[in-house]
Amino acid sequence: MSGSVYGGDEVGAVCFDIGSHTVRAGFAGEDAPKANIPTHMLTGDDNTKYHIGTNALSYPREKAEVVMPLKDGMIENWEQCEAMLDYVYSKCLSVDSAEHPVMMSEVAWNRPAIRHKTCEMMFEKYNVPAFFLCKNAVLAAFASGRSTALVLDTGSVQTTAIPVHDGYVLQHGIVKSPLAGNFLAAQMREHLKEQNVEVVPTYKIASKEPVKEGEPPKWVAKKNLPAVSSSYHNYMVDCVIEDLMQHVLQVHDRPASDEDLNMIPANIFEFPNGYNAMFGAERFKIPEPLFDPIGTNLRILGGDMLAMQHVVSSSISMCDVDVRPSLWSNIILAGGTTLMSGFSERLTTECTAKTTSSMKVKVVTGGNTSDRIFSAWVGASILASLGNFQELWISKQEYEEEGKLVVDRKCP
Amino acid sequence: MTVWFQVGRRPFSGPHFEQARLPEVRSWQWKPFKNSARNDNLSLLHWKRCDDTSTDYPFAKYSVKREILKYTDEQYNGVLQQPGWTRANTDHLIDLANRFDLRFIVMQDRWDKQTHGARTVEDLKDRYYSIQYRLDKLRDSESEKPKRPLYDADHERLRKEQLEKLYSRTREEVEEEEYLIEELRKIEIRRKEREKKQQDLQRLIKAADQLTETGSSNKKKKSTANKKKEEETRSWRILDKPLNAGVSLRSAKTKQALQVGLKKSKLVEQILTQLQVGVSPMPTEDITVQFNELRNDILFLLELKIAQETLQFDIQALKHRKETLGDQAAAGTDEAENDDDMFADTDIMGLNLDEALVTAGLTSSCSRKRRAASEIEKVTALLKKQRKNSKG
Ligand SMILES: Nc1ncnc2c1ncn2[C@@H]1O[C@H](COP(=O)(O)OP(=O)(O)OP(=O)(O)O)[C@@H](O)[C@H]1O
Ligand SMILES: [Mg+2]
Repeated sequence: MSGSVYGGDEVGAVCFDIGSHTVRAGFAGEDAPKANIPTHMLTGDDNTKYHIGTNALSYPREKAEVVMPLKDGMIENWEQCEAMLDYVYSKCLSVDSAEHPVMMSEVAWNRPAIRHKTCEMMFEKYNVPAFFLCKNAVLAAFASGRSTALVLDTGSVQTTAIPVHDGYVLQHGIVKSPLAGNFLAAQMREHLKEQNVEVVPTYKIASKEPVKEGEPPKWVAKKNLPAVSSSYHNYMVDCVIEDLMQHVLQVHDRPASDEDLNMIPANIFEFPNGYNAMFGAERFKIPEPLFDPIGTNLRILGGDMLAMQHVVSSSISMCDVDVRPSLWSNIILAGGTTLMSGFSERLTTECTAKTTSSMKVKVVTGGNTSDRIFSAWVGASILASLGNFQELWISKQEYEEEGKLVVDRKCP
Repeated sequence: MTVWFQVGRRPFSGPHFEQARLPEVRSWQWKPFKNSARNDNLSLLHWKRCDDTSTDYPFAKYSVKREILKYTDEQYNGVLQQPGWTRANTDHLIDLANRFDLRFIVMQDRWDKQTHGARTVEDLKDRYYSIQYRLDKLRDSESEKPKRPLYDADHERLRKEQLEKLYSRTREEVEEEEYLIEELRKIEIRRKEREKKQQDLQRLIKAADQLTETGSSNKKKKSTANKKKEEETRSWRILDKPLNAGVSLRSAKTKQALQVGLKKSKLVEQILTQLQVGVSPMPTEDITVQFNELRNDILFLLELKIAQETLQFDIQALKHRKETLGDQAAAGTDEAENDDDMFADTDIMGLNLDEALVTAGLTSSCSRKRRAASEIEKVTALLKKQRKNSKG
C-alpha cells in the first residue's frame, strides 16, 4: 500500500485519455500524464505507416495527409488507433503493454460495437493483464473529488454537458453543441481573412526579420519544400491560429456592448513570419458566441448552436427533479477551451440568470486551471490506483471466458 | 529531505540534528497479489512491505454488495404478479437493481424503454418495494406485522410534481412572490401598530369616562364589574398600591414613585410646582389622598395630551396623503383644518403644557414630524404652482 492517493494502491496501471485534439497517457497514481501528444498524425509510406508526435508533424513530407483515428469522439480508424498506442507504449512510456493494466476513457455516447472492439484490441493485440473503460465525464468528476456533478466539457470538436450521478452517467441528460475550440478557430480564420492577414505556417519559413507593428513581414521562404498536401498545410495553419487564440482570446464577464469592448486593452501577437498586430475588441467578440450565439453575427452556421448556459440548463432539466439541485451546485469544467480566462465567471453569471434565486449555482473551478485539460486523465489516474477499485478490472481470464461482451457487464 | 518525510521523522530536530540518525529504512517489494473480492484469479503487482505477512488483499474487506431481492418462479406466480408488470419487466428491474446497486435514478436512466415501456423512477421504486413487501409478508406470515411499511408512490409523485412546479417558476414570478410576502409583512406590522394605538386610546377614553363618573357618584357604590374595569384602566395609574410592609411615615405615601418613566415623573413634579402645590405637602391624611389624586390627574392629563399630539400628527399625515392623491377632496381638507383649529388651543388651566412637553423631550419627535409634514406640504404646493406656471 502506497501512493499519493488516499486509500490508494498502485498497481502500475497505464491510463489513456484519447481526445479529438490531444492524446494523454501516463501512469496511474501520478498527477499529470507523461505523454500529451496531438491526436492527428501524418500518413507515411510502407516502412512507417504513420508519423506521430509534435516533432514528426512539423516536418513537411511529400503528399503526406493529416489523419486521425477519431470521429465524434469515438474510435473509427483502428489501424491509426493502434499506431497511436504503439507509439505511446514504445516512445513515451517505454513499457511492455503485457505488464500493465490499462484504464481508458471513452465518450459518454460511445457505441457498444466500438466498446467491444476496444476491449478486444487491448486484450488481443496488447495482451494487457486487465482493462477498464470509463466515461470521461465520470473521470472528470472524480478528478475534482465528486461523484455527482454536471460536467461541461468544451474541447475541440464539440461542447457536451453530461450529468453524472453517483459515478454513473445519466444518458438521457447528455446535451451537445458544436460551439467549441474548432468553431472559435474558424471564426478567427475568418477574422484574419477580413483583415487580409495571411497566416504562414512555420514549416514554410527559413528566416525572418523583426518589423514594426502592422508592417508587412520580412521573411525568407524555405527552398526545396516538398509538395505537401492541403490537409497538411491547413493543419499547420490551424496550429498557428490555436496559438494565437490561446494568447489573445478572453471571455467578457457579461454580454458586452461595443463601448465596453473598445475600452479593452489590446494584446499583441507575433506570427511565425514576423508579422505582428494588435488584437482589441475581437479578443472578446470571437468567443462571445459561446454564450450568445444568436446575438452575434455568426460566420459559420451549423446544427443546434446551443450556448454554454443552455447546454447546461437543458441537460439538468432532463434529469430527475431530486438530483437537479446537486447538479446546479456542482458544475465542473473540463476541456481546453474552458481555459480561456473569464469562461467560468461568465458561465456562473449566465447560469445564475437562468435559475431562480432559491437554486444554488456553483461552477467548480478548484485547483490548477491547467489541470482542466487533463481532468479526465487525472480522474483515470486516481481511480486506477484506488485499492477499492482493484476488484473491478476486467481481467484477461474474464475476457477469455466471456468474450468481448464482458465490457458491457463490467463497465457501466 | 524527502527521505526524511518518507521515514516519518521531522527534518530538523533542533540542536541534536547532527546526532539524529536515519532509522533503518523498511524495505518494500513489488510483489504479485490476489484479491479475494474478485471471483477470478487476476494477479496484479503492487508494493508490499517485506515484513507484511498478511495474505489477503487489504482492500478486499471493504468490498460490500447490497442484497438485491430474489424470487423463485413459485413465489412469482403465487404472490408477485401485478397488473402492468410482466415477468420480463420485473426481471429487467431486478437485473438493473443488481447492476446499479439499487440507484433508482440510474436504473430509470438505463431502463430499456423499447422492450419494457417507459417507466418513471416512482414506478420502478413502487414495483421493487411492493415485491419486497410481499416477500416479507410471505416469510413473516406467522408474525403479525410485516417489518417494512409500503412505499407510497402517489405521495412521491405528488411531491415531485410540486418540486417541478417550484423549479419551473420564472425569475419574475419568484421576485413577485418575494415582493408580495414583504408587502404582506409590512401591512401586518402597520396593522399591529394601529391596533396598539387604538387600544391605548380606548384605555384613555375609558379612564376619562370613569373620572367624570367617579366625580359625580359615590366611590364606594361601585359594582364589582365596574371595579374590574377600573383596574384595567388604572393599569397605568400608580398610587393605589400599598406601601412596603412594616411601619412607615405617612409622608412616604406622597413620596411614592410614579409607575412611569423618569421623564414623565419629572414633568409631573414640574407641573406641581407650577400649580404652587409643591412636591412635599403637609402629610395629613386628607392632603395625602388629595395630593396623590392630583398627581394621578396630572399624569392622566399628560397621557391625553400625548395621545392628542399623535392623533394630530396622524391627521396631518393623512391629509397630506389625501392631497397628493388628488385635489378633488378639497372640502374634506377644509373640515380637517377646522378640526385642527379646535386642537390649536392647548392651554389648559393656563398651563403651558406644550412647552412643558417639549422641554421634557416627550413630544419633540411628534412635533418635529408635524413640522416636517407641513414643510413637505409647502414644498409640494410650490412645486405644483411651478408646474402650472410652466404649463401655462
Ligand atoms: N489556454 C487555452 N485557451 C483557449 N483554448 C485552449 C487553451 N488550451 C487549449 N485550448 C483549446 O482546447 C481544445 C482542446 O481541448 P481538449 O484537449 O480538451 O480537447 P480533446 O479532449 O482532445 O477533444 P474533444 O474533447 O473535442 O474530443 C483545442 O481546440 C484548443 O485550441
Ligand atoms: Mg475531451
